[in-house]
Amino acid sequence: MSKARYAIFPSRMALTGMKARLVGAKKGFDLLKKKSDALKARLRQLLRQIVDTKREMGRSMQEAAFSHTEAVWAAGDFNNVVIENVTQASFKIKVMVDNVAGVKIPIFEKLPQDNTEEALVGLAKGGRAVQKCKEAFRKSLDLLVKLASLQASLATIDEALKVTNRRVNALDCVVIPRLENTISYIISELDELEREEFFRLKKVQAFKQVEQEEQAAFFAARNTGTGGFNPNAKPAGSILMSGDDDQDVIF
Amino acid sequence: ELGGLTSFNLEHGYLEALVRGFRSGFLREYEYRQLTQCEVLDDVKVTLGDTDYSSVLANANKLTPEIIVDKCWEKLVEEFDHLRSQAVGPLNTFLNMITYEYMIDNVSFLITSLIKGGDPNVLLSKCDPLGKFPRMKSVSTFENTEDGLFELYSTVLVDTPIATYFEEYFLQEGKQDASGFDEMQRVFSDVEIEIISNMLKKYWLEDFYRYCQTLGGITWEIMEELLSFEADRRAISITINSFNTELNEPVERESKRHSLYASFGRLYPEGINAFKKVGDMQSLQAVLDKYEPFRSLYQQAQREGKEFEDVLQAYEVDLCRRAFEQQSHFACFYAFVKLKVQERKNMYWITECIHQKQKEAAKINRWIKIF
Repeated sequence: MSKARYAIFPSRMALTGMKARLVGAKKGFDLLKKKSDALKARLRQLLRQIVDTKREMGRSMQEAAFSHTEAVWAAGDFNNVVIENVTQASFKIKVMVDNVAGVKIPIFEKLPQDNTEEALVGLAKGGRAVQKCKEAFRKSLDLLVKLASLQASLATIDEALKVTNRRVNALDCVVIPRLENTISYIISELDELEREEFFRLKKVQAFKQVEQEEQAAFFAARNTGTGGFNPNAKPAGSILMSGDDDQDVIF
Repeated sequence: ELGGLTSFNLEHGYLEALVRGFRSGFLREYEYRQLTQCEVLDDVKVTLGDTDYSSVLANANKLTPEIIVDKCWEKLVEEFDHLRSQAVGPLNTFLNMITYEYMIDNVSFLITSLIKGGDPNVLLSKCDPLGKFPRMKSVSTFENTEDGLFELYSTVLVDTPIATYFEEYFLQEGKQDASGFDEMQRVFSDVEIEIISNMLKKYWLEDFYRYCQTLGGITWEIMEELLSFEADRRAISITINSFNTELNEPVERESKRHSLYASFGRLYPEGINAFKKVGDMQSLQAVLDKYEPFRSLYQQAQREGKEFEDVLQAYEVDLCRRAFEQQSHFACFYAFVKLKVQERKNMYWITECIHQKQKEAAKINRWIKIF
């Protein structure tokens, strides 16, 4: 893992900022991870439902197709009459919205229909078989709507899951390490600065000590010998200054 | 007069011979058994290659149950047209009357669909070829206006032989007057196509019945039985199929449903009148109990666990088969078409079962033996 980090001037302020960002990123990661898990669970559940519905669908369609054969057997070819006499849909669905972990999922729901328009087909022959066929197909249609609803949910959730996973991974593998790198960089830079400062202080201290020692040596030399300067020795004061202990004369 | 044995053959002998020749073209029982053994539709094609339908599917490169059945039906139409083009005198009328049933279906289908805005050319292709008539193509010029409907009526319908049935229908409805075409449009868009075509078929059936009566002789003898059964079967089917629909409301039972029953047959008039009160299977059975063969047919259906309509069908096939047993009459032409209808249904059933892989013997063996 390359030591990628944000281009930033290492300062204490930047460090505080970065730490705040890291906390935010970790919180975001936790939340997104939860969302992703929720979506994943829903996705699995959907997949199971889809498989079941598809199996049922296969059976139901087969039955419906055969009931159509039975109807044609009993009533003759009635398809055209039915097709040409349809003026409006007898089966309508409405799109509802469900919410899973903040993802809006389309759900198709059957609208209650007014069953007043019962076409009479095969009155003189096989009408009951036609009716049965109609029921069989309506059953299949219900399943079909259910399946469509599941599939649409699946597609939406899948998309949402992908986005969420990308975000989770981005946070986990890019943003958080980068923030951590940046923080450790700033800390190391700050430490470095501190060490430099310390060293400088030491150096200055050392210089000062040397200087002091030199000075001390100099004065010592002056007090004891000629030309030496003794800082402890009282300088030869002026006469004017010598009388500061005098009491003021009070009249 | 048809002349019976002495002079029948003079005019109609050739055609009777032809139709008896066509009779041998029906699929035999063993051929049906072979068909039910097929695994795929290509096998069906091969099996049909040994039958009268050998040439029909030769050029079909794509096989579906519809295509197979349609092609076989085209063959019947061809044969029938051949008979009709040669027929003279009363036989010609008789053969034409057979086609009126299909013509009624086509015309009522065309009109209701045209009013609802269907494409005429598409609609024409969906019509039964047996019920086609020369001027039918002119409906493609139909415009969905009052004038358009008037034109349709005056150019297409008036010339067809079934125009009289339409007139009778409008008269019955009490809505026919000099400018009643908007009324006609209203009727056709409001009233169920099934009601209209069943009313028209009732008139046709009654007309056909009367016509056969004028022919007399053996023709009348056999046709009387066949048409009576057809009328009774229709009445029973309409009653059964009206259960669970608005036609079964007590008021509708007395008026609308009752007006669909033909005014002849074994059940007519007492049985038909009793149908007014029939609202479910039990009460229907109670009425039918007084009439043979329906009593035994109903029992047979219950005993064998079959649909009552299927049993009636099988009985009709039986009647039609018997029509071939006498000579010098027209009924065999009618029976020929009816049996071909059944054959089409049989083939549709078997091919669909094969196509959908529903090969259980209980299912696939629903076909009705013809010869």
